[in-house]
Amino acid sequence: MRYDAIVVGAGHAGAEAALALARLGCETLLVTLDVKSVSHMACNPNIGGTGKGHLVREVDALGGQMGLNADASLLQIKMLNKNKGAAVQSLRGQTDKEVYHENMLATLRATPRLTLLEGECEDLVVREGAVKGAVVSGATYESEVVVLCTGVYLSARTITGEEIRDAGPYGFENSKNLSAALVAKGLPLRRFKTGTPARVYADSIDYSVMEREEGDYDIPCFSFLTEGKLLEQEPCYLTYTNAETHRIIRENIDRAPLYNGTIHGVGPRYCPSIEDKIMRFADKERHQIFIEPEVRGGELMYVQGMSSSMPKDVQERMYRSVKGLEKVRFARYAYAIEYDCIDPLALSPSLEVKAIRGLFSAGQFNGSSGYEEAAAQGLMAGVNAARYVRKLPPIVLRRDEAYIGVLIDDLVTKGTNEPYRMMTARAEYRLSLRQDNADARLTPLGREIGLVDDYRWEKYLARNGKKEAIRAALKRSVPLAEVRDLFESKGESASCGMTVEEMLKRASVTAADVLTFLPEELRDSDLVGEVAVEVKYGGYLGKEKRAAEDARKMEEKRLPADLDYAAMENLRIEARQKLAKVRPLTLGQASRISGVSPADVGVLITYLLKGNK
Amino acid sequence: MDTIAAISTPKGAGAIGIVRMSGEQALAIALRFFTSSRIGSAIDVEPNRLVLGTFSDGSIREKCMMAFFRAPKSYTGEDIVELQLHGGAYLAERVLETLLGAGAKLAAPGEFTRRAYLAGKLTLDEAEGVAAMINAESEAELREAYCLMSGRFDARIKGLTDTLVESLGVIEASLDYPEEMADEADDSIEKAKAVREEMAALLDSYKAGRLIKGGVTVAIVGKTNVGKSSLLNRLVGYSRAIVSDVHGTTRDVVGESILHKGVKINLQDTAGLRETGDAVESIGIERSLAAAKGADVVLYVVEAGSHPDETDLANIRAFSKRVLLVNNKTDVFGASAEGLNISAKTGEGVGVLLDEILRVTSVDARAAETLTEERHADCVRRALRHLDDALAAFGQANVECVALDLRESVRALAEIGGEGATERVVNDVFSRFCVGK
Repeated sequence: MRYDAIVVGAGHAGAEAALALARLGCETLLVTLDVKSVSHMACNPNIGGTGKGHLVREVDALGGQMGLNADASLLQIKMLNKNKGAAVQSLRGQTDKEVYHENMLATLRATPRLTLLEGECEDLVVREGAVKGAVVSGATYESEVVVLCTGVYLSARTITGEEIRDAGPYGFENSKNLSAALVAKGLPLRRFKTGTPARVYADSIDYSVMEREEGDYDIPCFSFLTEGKLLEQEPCYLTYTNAETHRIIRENIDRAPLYNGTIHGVGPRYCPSIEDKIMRFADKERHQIFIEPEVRGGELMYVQGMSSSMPKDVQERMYRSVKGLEKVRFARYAYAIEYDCIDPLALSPSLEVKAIRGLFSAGQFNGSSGYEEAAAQGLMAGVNAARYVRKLPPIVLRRDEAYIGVLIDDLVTKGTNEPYRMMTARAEYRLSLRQDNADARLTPLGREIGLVDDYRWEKYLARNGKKEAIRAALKRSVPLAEVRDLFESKGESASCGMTVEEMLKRASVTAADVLTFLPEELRDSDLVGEVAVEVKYGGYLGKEKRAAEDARKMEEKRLPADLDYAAMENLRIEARQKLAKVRPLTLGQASRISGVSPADVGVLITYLLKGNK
Repeated sequence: MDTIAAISTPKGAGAIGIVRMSGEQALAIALRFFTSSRIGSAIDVEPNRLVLGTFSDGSIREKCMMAFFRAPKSYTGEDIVELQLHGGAYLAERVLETLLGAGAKLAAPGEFTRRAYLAGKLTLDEAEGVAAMINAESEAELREAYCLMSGRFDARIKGLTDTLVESLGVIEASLDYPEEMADEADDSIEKAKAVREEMAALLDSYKAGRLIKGGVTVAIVGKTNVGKSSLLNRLVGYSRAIVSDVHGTTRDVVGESILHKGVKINLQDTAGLRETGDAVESIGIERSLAAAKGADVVLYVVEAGSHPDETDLANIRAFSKRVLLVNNKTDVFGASAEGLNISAKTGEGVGVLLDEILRVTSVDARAAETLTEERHADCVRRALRHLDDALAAFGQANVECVALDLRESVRALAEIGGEGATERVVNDVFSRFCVGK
């Protein structure tokens, strides 16, 4: 049995990778342990969040599936940081987990050239340093490329107090044999840990003593293709832990697997378990607990903030100490999960494993966490695997182009010692990489790659054209009398007429304020708002642009793959070792490796010149 | 790209000192200080020609040559301006400092060549020679970065960076974890302000740091026959200057350097101040005042028991912040109530005088946390500029804009040690706040 490509795992990374491959013309086999686990949201019931919302929009802009799939299953949508600047605003949607899974499964099944196969990938076929196929449940399948998207399933075990099970998330089977096979092929695997809170019955919760959290009704959805606003939304609820909760946890801390030595894997600092929060931040009097729906009008609720690996009896007592959860009944207990993943320094920026040609990887296997981080990598791994099959050069997004570029560059250049989560703080060109302009940044590239179909392309051109027209219209002059009317309504004064753009530069003037000064056909408040962002950030965008241009020149200088760093005596020892491990493709990438100083980069240029001669 | 500047000739005294600038702003910055009868405005500047003119920034006036190479026909492929000055490390450093103050950025090790390389100006035919050159430069800089940086100076920079990172951490946490951070106190601005003050103080210490490297220049000034030359001779330990009872014996500035507590002190004996009809002596007196002007410390010497000439003193104080009143000849006239009492003849009080010179210039050779390197000073200067931008934007611009300037400030400081800014901030967020939804 021959395919162009085999994708191992059909989670958020695997689904995007397989769709990208099939849509780019590759006969693709997508292997999953259990069809019910396809695009399963194993932890929180939401898509997006700070930084992550940006990733979803970028995946969408490139022609990926996550945004559309999320929009079709939305229960609530919210713009985080709505009161702050546009660059740090991110969408977060509560989604119906069942609908999310079913929609993606249907999309996968309806996609030509894509074959979904239930089974366990047990080994890879590797010949002369290149992957040639995979062994699935005893049968060998040949292929040009393999994309590993094994999520948290590799030799996974779940931990709830003293109860340890060889299992994947949510009671699914784990992958038993692949880890050992990958280690035998020389891949540097290691163990990470993550966790999830309990699912509880909605009818056992007293919402009346909690704060009700509504979504936003006036914001766009994830996909640039989705028209209109989400009008029917379900609420979430906010409650808090208290002194009693903390006392129960402290008294039982010796039964916590995190503290009694049962768990060895490294967990994420940004998503600590409740016992970790209490022990590490002892002086904090209370922690937020969000109650979120798992499905529409459903009977199960997700208890955000109460992730734990405590024994079940302790879990029941600590959950029931929380206001509104006094009588709560458990449907599933919280657990921690340990799994094998790769040190991403073993990957090149195309997400190809450096040691084995044609082997790509994405998602939690690469040391990240989160559905969005997984989807973004899955898309890029799929695109680059398809280009490998077609013998085209890989697509590597730069840090000034996309959060996806930041994500992958961070992973493969800096590595990570904990499951990596996207944050806006990680993007040095944050003001330019906004969720509102993701299409302008990436859709033309998506078109070039071949993932943007005519429908999306027409839509993009129309939207972009309108924004251009708005930009031009902002140069129109407005007579003093009209300027004064607006400014005085805000308690400010005006002394001369000015252009609409100049008016927008005032902090108090919003996009909505200036609509009347624009031609009728351009009075689209969303689009004018997006253009206004560029005006409002003004000089700050210029600062970023100059920094990005500087960095880009370094990015254009390629380093030979066979450079002998060990022989470069002027490099400090640490720099030599790091460079030899990462084997950066460009001077820019070299400069971002931790342990490589600006002086080391200078030395590198010197040797580069000498070596080339 | 930023416009960069550096001294291109070796450190120390030489016949010519060249300061080179490369980048879009090079010519504009140069023409703020360089004037020539041949140049009316930037468009008059002919490329590839040496032009004689004057470099003046209000405190120094230097007759020098300027050469301009227009992009892309230059070494780096960018606009390049070279200022050819009279030799001497101090002059070149002063000119460089002025250019950096006007917006140029100090070139990193090998940066001119790096730019040439990035611009594709450097062909491989030229590579070998150039490579050897960068090599030497980098090795020197490596030593500088990794040897000089150990010790207390490093700790002080780290302290500043840590506080700044904490300030940025609060902001970043509130941006990335808006829901969890809603009830956390925001002390970012107080922290940033505290860093600003300390950074400014550190930059001030650069002046002292430079004095450690280049020495403290001390001008001995006063009326004729008060014993200035005797004081010089006492300080240097031998008869360097001619001493006589004749008024106006010293006609020119006589210089000599000594070491005191590990610090170099450059002494300058000057012609006594008095009204005179003697043309040569008049020139000498003019030079005395010029020496006083250029000195870090001025010793105004009088005979013990007599009052200083208020007009002279006021003149000198007008251009020098550090004027010490020295009462000489205590062995004859006894001590005065005000000022430092010494006897050049017996040596009494001379040690105290030298200590006082170091005290008023804040120079302590043992202090490691002063800035001595121009590269470090440049980093701190840029960090301070970004921090000022951030402080000005607090409450005015969006908080993510404030964060951008703060981050640039952290980055500039981190350049001294070579540590990435983003990782530090992210680590700070997770170590101090309980976040994670």
